Amino acid sequence: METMVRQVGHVVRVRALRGVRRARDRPMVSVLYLAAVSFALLAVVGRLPVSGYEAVWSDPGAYAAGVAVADGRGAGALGTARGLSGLLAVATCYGVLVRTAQREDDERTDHRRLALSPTAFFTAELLDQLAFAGRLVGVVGVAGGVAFAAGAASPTTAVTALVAVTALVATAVAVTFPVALGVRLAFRHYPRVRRHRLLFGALLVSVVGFAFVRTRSSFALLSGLPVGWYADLALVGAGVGASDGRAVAALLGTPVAWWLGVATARRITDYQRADAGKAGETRGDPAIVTRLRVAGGRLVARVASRPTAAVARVVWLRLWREPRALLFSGIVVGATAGVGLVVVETFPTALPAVVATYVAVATGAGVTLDPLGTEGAALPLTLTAPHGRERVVTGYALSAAIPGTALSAAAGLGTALSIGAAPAACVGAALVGSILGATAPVVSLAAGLRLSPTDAATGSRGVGLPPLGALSAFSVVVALIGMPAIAATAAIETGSMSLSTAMTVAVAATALLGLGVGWYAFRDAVGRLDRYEP
Amino acid sequence: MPLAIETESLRKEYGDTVAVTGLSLRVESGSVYGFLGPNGAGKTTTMRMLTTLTAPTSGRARVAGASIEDRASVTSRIGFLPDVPPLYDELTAREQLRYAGGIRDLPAETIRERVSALLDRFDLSDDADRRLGAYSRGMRKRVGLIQILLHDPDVVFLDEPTSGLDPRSARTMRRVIEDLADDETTVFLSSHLLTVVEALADRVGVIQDGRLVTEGPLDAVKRKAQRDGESEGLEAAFLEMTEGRSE
Repeated sequence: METMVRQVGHVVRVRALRGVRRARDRPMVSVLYLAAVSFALLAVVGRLPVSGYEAVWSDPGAYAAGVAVADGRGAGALGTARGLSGLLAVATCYGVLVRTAQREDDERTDHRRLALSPTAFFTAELLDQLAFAGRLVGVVGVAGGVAFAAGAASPTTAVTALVAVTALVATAVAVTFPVALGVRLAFRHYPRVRRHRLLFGALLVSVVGFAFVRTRSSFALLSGLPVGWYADLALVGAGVGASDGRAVAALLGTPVAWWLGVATARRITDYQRADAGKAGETRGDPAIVTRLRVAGGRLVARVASRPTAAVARVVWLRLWREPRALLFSGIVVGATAGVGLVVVETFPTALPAVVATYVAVATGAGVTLDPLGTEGAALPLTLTAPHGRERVVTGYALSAAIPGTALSAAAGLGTALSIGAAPAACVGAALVGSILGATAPVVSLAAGLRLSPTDAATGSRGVGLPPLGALSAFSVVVALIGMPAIAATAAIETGSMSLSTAMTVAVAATALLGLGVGWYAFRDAVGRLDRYEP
Repeated sequence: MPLAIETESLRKEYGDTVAVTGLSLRVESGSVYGFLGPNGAGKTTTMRMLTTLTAPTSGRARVAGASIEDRASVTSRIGFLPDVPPLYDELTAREQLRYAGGIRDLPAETIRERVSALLDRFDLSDDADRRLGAYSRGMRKRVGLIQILLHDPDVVFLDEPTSGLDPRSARTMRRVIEDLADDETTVFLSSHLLTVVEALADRVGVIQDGRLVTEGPLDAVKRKAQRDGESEGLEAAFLEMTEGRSE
């Protein structure tokens, strides 16, 4: 037992150290995490009785709820806490699912599985996941609990909140980890499922994204689930009517969930090992895909040189067979869907422009965001081809711009027609969409070549995920290019512009911005690749 | 004999680290040049400079008659096979080779013919439509070699071409290098396996800490490690010249 504890401690310590070093290598990701956690902290803790704090955050949160309970006005506190428990659990499940399902290591490469007993190995895995979720989600939950306890002047609640949040996150980790292993197994076993990860990923991100955008509905749905019992545990002595039975059940449920998580993970890994021989099987592409690819190849061969067309064709082929990069396109759209929703709620006629912008962002957020990483080990071939560098940039840009232009234009037009927009608005939406769809891949290439960790580019042997920093910069720039169109449609609603003027302004401004930014981005991308030394 | 590779005081610095310094080489056309050195000696950096992947900090070099500053001219006349073959795992060998031909602007018909002939020659025709991700290391090396030969280069740079190969694959690779030399293609061969260099090279250069410590015909380099008037071979010469400095 002592050996196992030591082994587990060692693994967790090493993984934490690796995590710290990875974070140091990717400061942009750490900044984004920090920003998300800071925002969540502000929202959950809410207004504080500190001079000048209202300038930082003025909406009521856990502290105000605590004060209300102390004043005998805390009727709704338990329901809200139960809903919040649900959201914390959703965030934990999402983080663990994505983190585990995306990880590449398996029993063939992970030496720890040979060195540790299965129980020690999976316990260490779960503790590592707990540490990961704890520093993101747990911190927010504990801060909320402490703020509530401070407001209610109940020190005991701070302790029970700490216990409840730890138990909640631990349970969510233990339940999700085997599920994530199952997802990985499904991806490995079923090529069709693996091929359509984009769909599953986008769906997941959308559901999670909407759960956080629509908090009121989420609270109503989640507070009735057993996950809400952890709120009872947190507030068991706070005088808000928390159920002792539920609190005990939550407390006892955690070790049971943990034991079940380890046991299930072991079973799944055993199955995965037995299934390993099937993982390398490859199947031919469906006929329709081959036909589409040939048609696309002919189209690109007409508009570009042979080397450029070769690059574009290979990008498509690789993406079809390894669509992980597209999954990220779905994720970025899902993750930012809430922002678009707020814009559309404020200015409903901006919907076509918003949709076109999102489609452009999605088509540009694939492989073009990390051309060096996507080339990976094959980079020396590309870089030693005569004129290869400029043609690589052009080929990558075309591979995304051809479908992107068509899709963004169709999305803008289709949405405009579906909301019954005037013919001029429909044409405007299609034009704006096509400009955004053509520009986004070039912007994406420039962002990718500027912000990718280029020293690691030649290490990979497959299509990978784009760096988060490049993704953020690219999304912001494309959104800015789409902004005039959104602003113009908003101007129609406020009555400050006529339809025809607004559409002219929208198309002209988007075209000007798109051309200017696109040209600069293209030259920048070519220059950077030209100077690049692997 | 015309020179395929000629360098003069080539130097490469990475920050405060000097990877290669004062490198002056002359490699005759149609010869096999063995480039030896311990790990970190500067072999790969030299190859990267000569293949235009990395710009030298100072010095000059001409490859296949063109200055390495003229990237387009040099790259159209060379082929480079790094230690890890530059392949896409998601493609089949045939798709990869078509791509390699396409990016070099070869006509489709030429690509089809040459790919087919080279796949036959390298005994890969039966596996040509399998994805590269499922290939063994030896098969990947062979595909990597085919793709740098598609455009019939004047000079090929091979970085550890036989490392990690089983004896049969290594023998195939050695034969291919011999055939290339017979066809008057210049081969710049970097390898840790001294037996490979000994069997194939006409001239040998040994690099140590970024400097060329010896250079000359194979027999002359071997004679540098003599005991009682008898040459002790390339390995003895290599160890003597790099004594106490390899990893």
